[in-house]
Amino acid sequence: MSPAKKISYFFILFIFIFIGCAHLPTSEHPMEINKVFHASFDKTWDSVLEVVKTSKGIIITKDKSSGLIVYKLKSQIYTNVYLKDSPSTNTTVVYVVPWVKSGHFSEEIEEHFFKMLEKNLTKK
Amino acid sequence: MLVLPFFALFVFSGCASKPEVIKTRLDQFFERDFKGFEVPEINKIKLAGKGKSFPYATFDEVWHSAIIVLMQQGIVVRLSKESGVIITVTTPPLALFVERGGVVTVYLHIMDDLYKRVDTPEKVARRFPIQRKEEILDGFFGMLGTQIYSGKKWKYLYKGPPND
Repeated sequence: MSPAKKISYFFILFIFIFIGCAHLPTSEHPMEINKVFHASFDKTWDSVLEVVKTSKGIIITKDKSSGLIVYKLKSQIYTNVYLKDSPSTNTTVVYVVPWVKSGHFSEEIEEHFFKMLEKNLTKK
Repeated sequence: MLVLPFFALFVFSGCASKPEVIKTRLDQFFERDFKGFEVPEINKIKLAGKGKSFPYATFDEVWHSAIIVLMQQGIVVRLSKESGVIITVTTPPLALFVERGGVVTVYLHIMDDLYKRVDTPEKVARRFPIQRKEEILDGFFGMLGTQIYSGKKWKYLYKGPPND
């Protein structure tokens, strides 16, 4: 085998090894779109409506039997809020996904929403 | 004399026509906060859309999985568990119908008629070729299937023949 061929084989092997070592990038701040609340579904549902009212949001659609409330803020942010109950543990999981007309919006809306909801639930 | 071409450029750039703002039916609904938005008839969703059955799953499982998938796709503007219809505004807007039955079937219709121009309704502002539509529908059903069956037992495996 010629030295040139040996070098090229070495490079190919080198590339394969490093591709194998590569890992998917992970965010240091993963999106937290859901949170568990130690409250019944009904209590959490009422508190979400209270948060919407306090934020002067406009309800676009809601269906309690489905657990979904969608509202719009003045800043043209639309928020999908989905509640999933767990009667055995008396907890409710709340999922929040905000959108703007052009696409997904990910600027700490969820965090702010969860803080307000938590405050509302402890108040009651 | 060298100034003359620059002068002409300034004058003519000032005369340039403004870009045309195209308003669609969807833009109108955004302006009205979706007031007056009418849900398409179930028959239309079934006939114009694509259907897929989800065996070994209840209506509730399919319904809640559909909500979780759709709320990650866009803004849910209408939903009713009673009628089984969910409308989501994304690109393109989607109308979904979950049909109750022994085996739950989901129909998905792309509402590209919302891209019709307000000034000239015979024209559309955005087109989706059939192939692209197929990709969108298949992609959605893939996500929905994963959501429904994730965490479930491997129900396709039997200890003996299924009819035993």
